[in-house]
Amino acid sequence: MNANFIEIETLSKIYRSGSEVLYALDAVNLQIEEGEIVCILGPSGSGKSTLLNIIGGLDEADEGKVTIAHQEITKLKGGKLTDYRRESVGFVFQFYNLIPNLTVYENIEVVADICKEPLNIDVLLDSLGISELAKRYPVELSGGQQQRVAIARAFVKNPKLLLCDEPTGALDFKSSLDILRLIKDINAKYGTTILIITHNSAIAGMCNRVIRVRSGQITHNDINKEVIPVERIEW
Amino acid sequence: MKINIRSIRFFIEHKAFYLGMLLLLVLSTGIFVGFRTSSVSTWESVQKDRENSCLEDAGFLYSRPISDVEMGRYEKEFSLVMQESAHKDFEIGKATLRVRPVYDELNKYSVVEGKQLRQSGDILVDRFYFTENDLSFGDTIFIDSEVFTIVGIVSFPDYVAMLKNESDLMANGNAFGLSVVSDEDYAKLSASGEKILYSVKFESDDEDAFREALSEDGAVLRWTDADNSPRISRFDGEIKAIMVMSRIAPMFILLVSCLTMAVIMGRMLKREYTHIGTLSAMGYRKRELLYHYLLLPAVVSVIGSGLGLLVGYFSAEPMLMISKVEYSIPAVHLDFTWQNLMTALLVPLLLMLSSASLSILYALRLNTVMLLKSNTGKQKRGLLTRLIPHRFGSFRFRFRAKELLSNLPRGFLMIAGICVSATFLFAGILIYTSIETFKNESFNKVYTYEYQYTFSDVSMENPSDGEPFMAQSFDVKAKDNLGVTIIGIEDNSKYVKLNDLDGKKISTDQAIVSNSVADRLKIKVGDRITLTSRSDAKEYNLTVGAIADSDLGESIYMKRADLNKMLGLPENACVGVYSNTKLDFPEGEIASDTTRKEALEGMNATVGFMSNFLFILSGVAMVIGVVVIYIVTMLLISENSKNISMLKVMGYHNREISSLLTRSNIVPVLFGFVLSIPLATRIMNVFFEELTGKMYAIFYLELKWPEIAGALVFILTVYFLTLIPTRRKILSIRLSDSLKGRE
Repeated sequence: MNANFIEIETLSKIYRSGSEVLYALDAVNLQIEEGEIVCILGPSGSGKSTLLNIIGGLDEADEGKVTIAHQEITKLKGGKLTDYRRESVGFVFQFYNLIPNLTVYENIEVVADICKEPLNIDVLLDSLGISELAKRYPVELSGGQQQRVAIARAFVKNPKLLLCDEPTGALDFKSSLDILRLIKDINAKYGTTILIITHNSAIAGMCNRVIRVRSGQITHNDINKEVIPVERIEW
Repeated sequence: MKINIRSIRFFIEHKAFYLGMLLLLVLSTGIFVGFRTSSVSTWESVQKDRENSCLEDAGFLYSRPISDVEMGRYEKEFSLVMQESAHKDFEIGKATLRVRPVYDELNKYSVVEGKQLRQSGDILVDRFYFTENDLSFGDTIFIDSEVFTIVGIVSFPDYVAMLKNESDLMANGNAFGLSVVSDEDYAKLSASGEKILYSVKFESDDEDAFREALSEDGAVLRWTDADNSPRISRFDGEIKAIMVMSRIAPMFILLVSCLTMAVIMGRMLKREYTHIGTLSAMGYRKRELLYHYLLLPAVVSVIGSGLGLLVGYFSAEPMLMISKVEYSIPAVHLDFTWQNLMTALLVPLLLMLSSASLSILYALRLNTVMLLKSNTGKQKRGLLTRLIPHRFGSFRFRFRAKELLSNLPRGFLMIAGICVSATFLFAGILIYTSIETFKNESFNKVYTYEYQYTFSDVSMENPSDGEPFMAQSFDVKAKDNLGVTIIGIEDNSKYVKLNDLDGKKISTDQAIVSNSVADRLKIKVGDRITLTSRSDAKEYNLTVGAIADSDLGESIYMKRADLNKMLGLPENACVGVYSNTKLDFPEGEIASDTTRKEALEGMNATVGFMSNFLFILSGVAMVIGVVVIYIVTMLLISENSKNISMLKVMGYHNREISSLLTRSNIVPVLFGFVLSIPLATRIMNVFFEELTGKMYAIFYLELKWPEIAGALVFILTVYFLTLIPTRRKILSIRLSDSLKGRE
């Protein structure tokens, strides 16, 4: 592992509702090394999605600093933040968010079209085992297949950082394992830093680092000394 | 960008919406280009012809011939051009053919089709006479034993409406024609039917002085300003009204198109929020997303406008027929101005892009996280829907009410579509009913004669048959160009019934002003008005004694003896007679005869040109109505596909689902319909002001309950018929759709 890839200092995000103030993130400090697979665990409303959104440049912090690969993204605004997302971050969503009137190939092409050095789509489809799905539309795919396409779409830009928001939340056990194996393979092959948000603590076993979040604060930040293969994950 | 391939798929997926939009744009642009080009080109061609052919400023009938020397003196003294405008009338078969020599200075002829006069025996006839008598170029006609060969079709600037007499109400090519032959040929024809009139064109403001000089040297028997000549002004009124409508109508359709586009874009984007969020998360810039979502409206707009331009381009020529049916106009050069073409192309594009941009920018103002979360199943219910009390009314009532209140833009679109559609429908109805009312309640109420004969000259004694009347034209001093006619009638006239607004008979011992005159001059009983005689420019003062319930013409009535006394004529002087039976008069004594039937048909003819135009607009209105109803209903169904699927799961029949959803649209349909009533009346008032500005008639625009009910039945029929194809969409929604979490 290398030096800190992600550095978060006293990061806060506040939501106000009338006189009520809610700290979605409350002075969070966190360091993640390059090439780690990090699992962020926590109940609903704990702040884990907010943390992921700020790291991904989807949301802005109220206080604190987030540095990704020596670039302080909390200072980025508008177009610069878009450029950061465009070149550096890949997103995988719980409900895939594929564009229904584009084929599998085109859904990936949508991202390849705007980034500087995209991976070869055919090679990527082949490596993810979804070449035969290239001409199909999302509605014709199973949940697992759709999530594979979503991962391919996120990864076609060969991002330094892959952010996965409940990637298996809508999948059955077998499909979930397929997706987790894929994520693991990408990490192994490309050294991509991967953050996985999940409710499912079983997933933590395959990750290098496990972070637990509650009420906007990090309660645990542990290095997983016994990383297990995906095949051994059970729930 | 690769993502733009979606635009094509969007078009295919939502083809019903976009084809509807295309149709609206084609209609809007087509009408604008077609009607505007044909009406403006017609107006400009006629104006140009009036300039080139030197249209007179006035024409008059004089008590004696005016010599060339006198004319030269008048021209010099009053800075004018004066011409002896002779013509000879000949009876050919059942028609009167009026033959003119070649006028050199004023009212010169133009060849519409065919050749110029080249040799002796050549004749040019007007288009109405040519068509109605099935003539062809090269055909020969006999006039006063002379043989003439038809070499072309002619038009004259002072005869746009082909009326034999100025008092005639309608042109009839079977009964009257106008022609021109060479001066030599004209001289060969018998002079028995010749009438000498004089035409003048002023180069300064000496008209009054000239008329006074004419009165000193003789008597002006009739004076007609070009502006007041029905042969000229009737066309002017109608074409100006059409030009107004050719601007208003496309703008209405375009506004409905833009509103439709804004609503469609707004609704479509709401379902796209997650994808916009996803694209934004993947690094798409706002500019790129804006461009992506604007591409389809831009392409639809350009294609729609482009097709509309083609439709307008190819329909402009046939649309000229609308004016040619009623008027004898010179050859029209269709002028497709760059200004009109660019307006037709760019205005829809700009409006479409603006309305679509509003919807897109509204979506893009949300941050990516909110966009990503927008389709997570949490539905916002508007404040309005909360207004419906819990358990208020039946479930179906509440369902429909909430459906309506939670989708206001869709409701507004329906209101706008139905409003525009019903406005055009009412415009047609108003034209029809105002003429019918005019005929039945004005003409029939005042006049009971079957025949009206007008003499060639003033008769100084009572005729042996019929009821005599006197008439003299005046200008109202306070109102430029507003002419009135004082009609002198018999005491207890059998043929002219004058009642006041309460229905009581009015005595003819006073000046009785028709309601239309009182309305336009804003005068009441006891007011004094100053009138200038058109024949000798003398001024007369009149006190309004009573107002008659009559909307027909700018007429003032008084006892014939009183009018003659005022004009300094013998007590029994008259210019014509009314009769219930056909009368015989010696040849040349009668200038015009009008039957009651002709008079009534003339009412239709005065607005026939415009009626044709409105007939087309009514057809267009129905298309707009159908398109908007279809689009809104399809939107309603597609946005409720999950609900429809769930209702199916719960055991609803398709018919019940259709009724539950689509009946909520009845409210905006009715609202749009109600709004259209004052809107149509207002628009038609503007329209009629242009149309009747120079006409001796006032039309009262009023919609009665049976007409409103009829229009409502029609609109509802269109509404329910349009719903039929939308039911197929309901049928196509699968039960399993409701069980899927999301796309």
